[in-house]
Amino acid sequence: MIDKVFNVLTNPSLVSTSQNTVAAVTIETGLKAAGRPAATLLDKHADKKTKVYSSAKELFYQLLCLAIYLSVIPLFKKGGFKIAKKIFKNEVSLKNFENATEYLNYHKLACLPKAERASHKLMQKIPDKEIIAGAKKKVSMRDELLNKEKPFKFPLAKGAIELSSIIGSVIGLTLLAPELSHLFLHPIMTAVGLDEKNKSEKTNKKIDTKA
Amino acid sequence: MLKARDVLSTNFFVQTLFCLKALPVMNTQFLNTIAEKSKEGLKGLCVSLGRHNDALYAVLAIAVFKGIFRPAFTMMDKNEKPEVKRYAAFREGLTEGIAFISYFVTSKLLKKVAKPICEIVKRPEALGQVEHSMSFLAVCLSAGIVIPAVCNLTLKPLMDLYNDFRKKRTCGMEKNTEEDERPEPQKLDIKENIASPTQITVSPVSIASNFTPVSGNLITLMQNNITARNAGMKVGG
Repeated sequence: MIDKVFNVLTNPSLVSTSQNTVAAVTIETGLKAAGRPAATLLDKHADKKTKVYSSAKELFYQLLCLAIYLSVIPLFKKGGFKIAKKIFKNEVSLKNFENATEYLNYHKLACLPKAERASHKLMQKIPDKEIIAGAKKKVSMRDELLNKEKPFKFPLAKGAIELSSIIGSVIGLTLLAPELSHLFLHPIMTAVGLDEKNKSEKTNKKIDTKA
Repeated sequence: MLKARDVLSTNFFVQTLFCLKALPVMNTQFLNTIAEKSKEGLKGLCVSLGRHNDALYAVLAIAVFKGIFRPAFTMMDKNEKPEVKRYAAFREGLTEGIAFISYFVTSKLLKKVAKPICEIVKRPEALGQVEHSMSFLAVCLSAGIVIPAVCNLTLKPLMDLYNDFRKKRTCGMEKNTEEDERPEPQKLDIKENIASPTQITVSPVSIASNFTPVSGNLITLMQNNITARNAGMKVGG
């Protein structure tokens, strides 16, 4: 039993996902989109209509946040890598790669077991160019991935992307997503038919008070 | 005290000029060292993140900034009453606080399980990998179950406590608000007691009494706006 748990926990794809900011935040937001409405529906203090309305609103809000986040984050990744290249001009690990996508493809393959790399579809996207890995040795990028058990992973490049992803996540989810989602949230709620009820209730209340 | 002759002395001028000349040099050196150190710090941070990035870092950063920005935005809303804004901001801050603590505690607890698992399987070299995976699972567990459950259980009692605290603190202000909530007394209908225009007895005013003889015929007399001149109450005769 524990062997199985250990195998799951040391699964390369799980380990690489756990170290990937974007994947972690995406899964976390997805779980929020499921967990928060469920918790609202289980709440015993509120009445049924309010629970349905607030849980639907929470669900759409989280989904919109997720969509906005996923559309914004590639800009931060690419921008972060470019800025890092400018800041650390003399760093070899950043000079090896043209852009963030090229590095991320390389890193994804480097995290896989050696046997799986050759047949992976990302291998076709790896350019056949020389890189300086480890102790300033020039090697082919493809050779590094195909022949070495543990290819060099260039932690500075990875860290620059992760740092920019964290900054992007913070800006995207705390500043951009809440403001932008409000633009779409009410039309969606009206389209689903949940906002009209609220409106009609409000107008009824207004009429009552005036009477 | 600095005297005029000291100021005018050549020695003083030389010293001041030297200082002024040295200041930008010192500044650039100082800025360069700061830039170098911050660059080294940034490099260290990037390398560290590249080697051991954790799912926890991003979610903790998000929780911290959400805990700052969301209440700030709520407080900046001009359409809401200050009391409502304060309540909502406190609630949002509290939710993010709960989220932060939940992420941190769940991650710490699950990371502690990593070592026994590795020891049982006799693979101590995989401790780092297991810890990373555990941290990621802790984030998922917190987001999906722990935070909503803790918020459901603790938010209402904490908000009630907050309300009680606010009531005690703003006792005087509350009285005012209670007074404000009372139904407004009906305004005196002054118009009701005023005699309607039909009831006003208008004493006939003879045109001739205020008439000053004007030279001309009857048509010119009729063309003059007599009623306009005589209309209204005359105070003091």
